[in-house]
Amino acid sequence: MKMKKALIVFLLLALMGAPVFANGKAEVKTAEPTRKVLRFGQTNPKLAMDEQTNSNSGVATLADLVTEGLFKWNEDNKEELVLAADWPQISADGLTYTFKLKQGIVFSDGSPLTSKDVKFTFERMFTPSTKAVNTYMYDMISGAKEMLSGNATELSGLKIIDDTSFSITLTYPFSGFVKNLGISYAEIFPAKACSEAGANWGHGTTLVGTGPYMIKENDEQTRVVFEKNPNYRGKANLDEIDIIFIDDVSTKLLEYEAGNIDLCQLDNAMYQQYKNSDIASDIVQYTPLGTVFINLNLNDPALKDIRVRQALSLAIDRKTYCEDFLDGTGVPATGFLNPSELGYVQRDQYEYNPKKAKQLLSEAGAANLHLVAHVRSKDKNEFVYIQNCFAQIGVTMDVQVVDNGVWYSEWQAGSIQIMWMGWFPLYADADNHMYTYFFSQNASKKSNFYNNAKFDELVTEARQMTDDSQRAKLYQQADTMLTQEDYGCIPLYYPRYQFVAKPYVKNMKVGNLIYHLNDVDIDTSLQKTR
Amino acid sequence: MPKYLLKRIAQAIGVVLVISMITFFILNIVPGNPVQLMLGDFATQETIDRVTHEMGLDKPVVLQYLHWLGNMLKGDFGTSYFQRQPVLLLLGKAFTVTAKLALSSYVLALVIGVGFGIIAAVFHNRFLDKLLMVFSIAGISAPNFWIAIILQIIFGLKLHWFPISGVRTFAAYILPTIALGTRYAASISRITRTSMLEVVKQDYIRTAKAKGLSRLQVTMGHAFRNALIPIVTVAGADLSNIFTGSMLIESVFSIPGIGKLFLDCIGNRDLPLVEGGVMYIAVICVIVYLLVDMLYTVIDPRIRLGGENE
Amino acid sequence: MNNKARDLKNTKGFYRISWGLLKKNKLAMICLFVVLFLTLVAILAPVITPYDPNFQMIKEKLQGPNAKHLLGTDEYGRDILSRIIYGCRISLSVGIVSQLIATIIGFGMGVCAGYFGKKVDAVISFIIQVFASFPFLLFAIAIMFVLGPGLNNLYIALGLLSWTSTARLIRGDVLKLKDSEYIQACIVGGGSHLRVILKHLLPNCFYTLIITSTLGIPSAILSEASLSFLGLGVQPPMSSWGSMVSGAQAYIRSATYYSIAPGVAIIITVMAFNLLGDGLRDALDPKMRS
Repeated sequence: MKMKKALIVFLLLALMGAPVFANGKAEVKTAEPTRKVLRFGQTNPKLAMDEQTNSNSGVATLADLVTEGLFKWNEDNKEELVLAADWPQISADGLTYTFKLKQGIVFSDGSPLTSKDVKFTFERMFTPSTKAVNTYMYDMISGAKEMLSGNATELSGLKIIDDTSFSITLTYPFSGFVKNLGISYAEIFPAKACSEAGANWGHGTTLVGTGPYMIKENDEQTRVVFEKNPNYRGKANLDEIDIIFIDDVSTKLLEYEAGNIDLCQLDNAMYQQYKNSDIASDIVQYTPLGTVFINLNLNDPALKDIRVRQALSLAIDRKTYCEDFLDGTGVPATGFLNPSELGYVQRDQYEYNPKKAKQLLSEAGAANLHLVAHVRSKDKNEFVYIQNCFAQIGVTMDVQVVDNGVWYSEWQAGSIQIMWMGWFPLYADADNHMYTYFFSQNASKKSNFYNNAKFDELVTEARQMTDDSQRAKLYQQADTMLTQEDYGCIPLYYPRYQFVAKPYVKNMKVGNLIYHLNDVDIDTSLQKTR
Repeated sequence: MPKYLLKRIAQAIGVVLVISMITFFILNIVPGNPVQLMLGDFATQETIDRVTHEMGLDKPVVLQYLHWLGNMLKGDFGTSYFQRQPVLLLLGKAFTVTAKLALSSYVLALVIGVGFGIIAAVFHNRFLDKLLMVFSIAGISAPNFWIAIILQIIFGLKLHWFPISGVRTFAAYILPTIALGTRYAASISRITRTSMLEVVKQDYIRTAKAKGLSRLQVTMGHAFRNALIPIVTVAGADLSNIFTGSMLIESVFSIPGIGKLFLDCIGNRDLPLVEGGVMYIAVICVIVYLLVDMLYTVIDPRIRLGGENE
Repeated sequence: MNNKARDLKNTKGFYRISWGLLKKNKLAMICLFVVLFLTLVAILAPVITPYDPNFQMIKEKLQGPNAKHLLGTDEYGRDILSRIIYGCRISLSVGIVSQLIATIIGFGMGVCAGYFGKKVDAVISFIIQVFASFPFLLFAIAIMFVLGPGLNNLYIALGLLSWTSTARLIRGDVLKLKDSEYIQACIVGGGSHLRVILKHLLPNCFYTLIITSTLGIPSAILSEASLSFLGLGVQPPMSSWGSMVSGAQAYIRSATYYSIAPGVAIIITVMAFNLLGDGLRDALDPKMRS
């Protein structure tokens, strides 16, 4: 009947017409010769760009273009002055820090940066209704805990001296305080704009800071567009930065290949596919500060004997693991501390000796050891490899994949027997890396239960010292104890990550985990117009 | 009849309420503390306790549920734990995206499915029939995430015809529509063919033929209308499946729809968002179920309400 | 509604005629052989695999099909052909066992709803609606958590996720059957409910049950593939085809064959069951014979 014919005609037309009006190339901007636009692809953090309320590195990439803190950790993993004019003066008892702000800095809305904004920022952090999550990094400021428990509305430990100077008093001497201030969680917000924004702060285009860029557009679903901050005191290299949200990793790389984005992380899971591809020359590797290790539950009867733990370590050939299985995206670990950290020392490689391992197991009466590992979906692949290594020495390990929420609960409840862990500090310091995991109180919340009084003593002492060379010696000792003598965990490798950047993208560097685009530049002469 | 309809609607509301209760219950017995997940690895127990209290999560589960229910009935679905925005707002945004994808997939599925099904039935047992049915079977047999990835590589990357991901332009919806719609086109074509065939053999068709009506008139006029019932059943089920989002397709194509939202918020134990999502899914399923039920009575008044034909 | 036709189902002759009709359907017969072949492969797996499916040779990973490994190797250097053969075992068992569970539950619920009617029907229909409207993934997570991981629990989880369609159809069947004079006579003639159900209703429902099981198996296999894709299916190092497709996704460009093999295996198996189900439906349906 007429209907059917019409249907067929319509379908044919649609099929023919599709490629005509569907222009996949619509994504690629025809670059005007002098306009520098960077398109960066990342997952959508789906969180407000308010770094007091989350600890997400994807948010940091966005927010750190706009807001700045007193200090920052640069991409060489060294701390730098940003809004602070100089390193603070510290009182003799180590409790009072006096800061001076740089002169003449204004926010992107024109308002000047003063000590009042600093005080506002910290008071906001400690106001319960903000629901800030990173307070543990700064709550040694006197008065912070009182504010958090609702007993105070003003931060007594932060005193304004004048417009550009203020002092902070701590409740105990903590040598990591200035280091913590270099993390983006403590970036300074403008008192007026931020309090007016209320719950909207960090959503849409509502974010004001002293940084090189400001937000032009943000639909919170597909992309965020940044443009130069005209009030920035320095030089912003790019005219525009488009952060495009692509949650699926393979899709993101397909977009990179198609030329729709200029820069993005090349996730380790995808590395194997691209290392010999057309874009292999675009790959840049970097070493973050973390360590990947096997976490053992030292309270578990099956793992209590040190010979068992040593045997498990002897079963793994870290060289093959890193070179062949991981395709070089890992460097065999020789201890817990990462090469960039204080206290790291080059040691001998861990031995690979399955025969000796079997011997140790039978000595310990564990010849038919059966282990149960709980892993998240993303950790599964490596543990299948480890499962095989253990099978060669007669150890059967069940690898059970559990959902994220369940894993987290079990981990912190201390009920996982053995699992994969990649532990990354926020900055290059052994305290932030080792103390936070293996100090006995912390280890009990990580299904680890390492409890060595001498180790605890070492890391607590180092935490309070300010002389780095002294601290290094203590951390070195502690690491040796943890990983060589006690086998409190089984270090596997230091991970290597990589990103891909088009040839015309310059100055991109990654120090640890956050992709900072602040210094990136584009050489337009290398860009081809499409 | 109106009395029966009221009864159905009351039942529907009951289903939705029970589902909300079960969801709440599940999210509270399955381990996974949203506060722990939110605060990250370094947070201290102190901070966790404080935020837990702030969010009212230390109250007894039943109280929490009643609190949520009370707000929900007033239209307030609460605020997402992680995204700190109203649940309705987030669901609304995601829904517009999913709706676009769902509608285009569904239209594609109906057009191709019904079209192929009729053609196959008309040419029953001839080559065209067998060919179309093999394609249909292949369509419902292949994992749809697999098809999605293949489409991306061939049409997005190699040929540059369509965008690979996102929903920025109209064209961006094409590959996901094909990936999503193929499966439903296949199932609808099969059921259309089957029920057309069944009906064609019925006596009243022979009567119509005997009356001298043309073949096409018989097909479209009589056979199709009577074949509609099973088609409506399957198409109805497919409609609710499509609308509740294909998580896998949305993941692969990076589409910010309901399926993807749901997938992410379950892993995070973002309770208000999960509840909101579950409510949405339940309401859609229930509405479609009601619609299908009512369509039955329109198509064939002889059918007893509540009794279902194959 | 042809009462006589329904009563015919009770006779042996009915099934003989059906078998005859089925034999004439070439496509369905091919599929039947494919299904039998796959079952044979699944049973004989330990004997026919060229390598141990879990044997890792990292240095030989991601090789394309070659003389030593007919379908190539995966990211651990394991032989893909061997893993596909074992995967047949797992996928078929997942499909068959979970569908068996779904069918038993579905039949039980459907029959009770249709047969006892009124309040029982209302309650069961309500339960069916709740199960059917519940989001698949959330349900899967909850069930897998409560039961724990492991193949047996996967069977149960998938069974619990898919009984509602069978229940609805059986309920419809029973509602129609209740009307027939034959059944009315059985009920009046005395005999416990169980007897009526098992002796008279069940045989008349075979048609529906066979169809839903045959069509439910491929659906269960696909569900398992989806669950594996989302990280919830069989636990490593077991190789269900679904988890192989999921694992292969990361190598889809550098080692495309890796995802083709299990993908094709799924398609062939699912197609075979679907076409067989179609053929069975045609052969068994009394309305189609005239």
